[in-house]
Amino acid sequence: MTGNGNLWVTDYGAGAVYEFTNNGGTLSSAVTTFAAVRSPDGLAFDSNGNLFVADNADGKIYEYLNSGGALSPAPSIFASGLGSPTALAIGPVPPVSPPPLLAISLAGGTPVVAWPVPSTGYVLQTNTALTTGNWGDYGGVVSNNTATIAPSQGNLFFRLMHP
Amino acid sequence: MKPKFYYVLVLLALAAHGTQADNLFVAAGGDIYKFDTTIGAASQSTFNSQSTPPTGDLDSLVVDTNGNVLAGYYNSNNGYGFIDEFASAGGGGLFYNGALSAFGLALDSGGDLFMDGESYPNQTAVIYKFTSAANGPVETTFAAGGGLSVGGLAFDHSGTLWMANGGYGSIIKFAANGSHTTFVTLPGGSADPRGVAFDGQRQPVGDGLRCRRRL
Repeated sequence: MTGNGNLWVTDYGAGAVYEFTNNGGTLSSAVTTFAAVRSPDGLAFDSNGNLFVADNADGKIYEYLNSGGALSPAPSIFASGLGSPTALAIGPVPPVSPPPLLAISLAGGTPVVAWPVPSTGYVLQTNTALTTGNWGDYGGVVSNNTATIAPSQGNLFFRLMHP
Repeated sequence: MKPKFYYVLVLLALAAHGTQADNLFVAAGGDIYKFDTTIGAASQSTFNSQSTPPTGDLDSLVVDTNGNVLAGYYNSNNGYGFIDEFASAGGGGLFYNGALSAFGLALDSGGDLFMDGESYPNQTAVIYKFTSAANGPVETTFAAGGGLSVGGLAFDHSGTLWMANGGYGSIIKFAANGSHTTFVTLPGGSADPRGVAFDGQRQPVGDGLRCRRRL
């Protein structure tokens, strides 16, 4: 059973991945050998207990899937074509900031479309009908995330696009 | 239509609970690539390519709890080593540049960085501990010398440091004072341990190395 603080070792020379089981805080010196990759180098566990191993000679990253606390005896290819991978490390995925809200107001009877500063990287787009996919970049002046809209002959819809 | 809508919400909630996305950083060819573990190969992007000196062979990676990536290099031009520190969004600078090649990296629970490498030019294995100081990180020697070769580093759940003792084909366990014992010698006549890791870790860990036998 993985997840108990077992020690895992890659043996480049033997082409093996070893597991040493943690029994109540003491590691057993008895070794369990997992299906080999050709030249295992760096290794790392993700938050879900899956094990990733770099195959230095074959340019691949293998993944041993965690299923109910047991790793699959044979790995699957996670990525390939990486030259000679050596080291691996797992890190968190940074949280994604929520997109800014687009606000429409009237200034002296003229529509103004704006979104919070300093939201960067967003492009204001327009469409004449929500039933079509014909969105295009707004052609007027946008300054400080604000666009003053000339009176329209018909419906005009706005959205923010992050390319 | 309403029942279908509710079914979709339930399925999404289960998926979100069952699988957590992580970034997998891969050192290859001097560059660092990044993957989303829930997506796979299609998520590959280049996190960093070496463009400014010093440059070298990338042998070790570790990610701290803030998502910063530390990368250890061996500079084949002068036998020295260095460590770069990158922010999670990319960009960064030199963390260490000295006479010790950087083959293994690990962070303890307090955030202090440990590095193993070979001193230049006498090729003695040394483990450094870096602690924060007002003028930048300061290294002290944690362990060195007899019976040690270079390899991947990792801390277990109790805070004990372990090392793949590459040139000796064994796994080393360090006491808090830097003294060490051999936990096990790997089977077979061609053992060359490169990486060590512990499952069930609650903090980001990572290590690895391109080991060069010096014995």
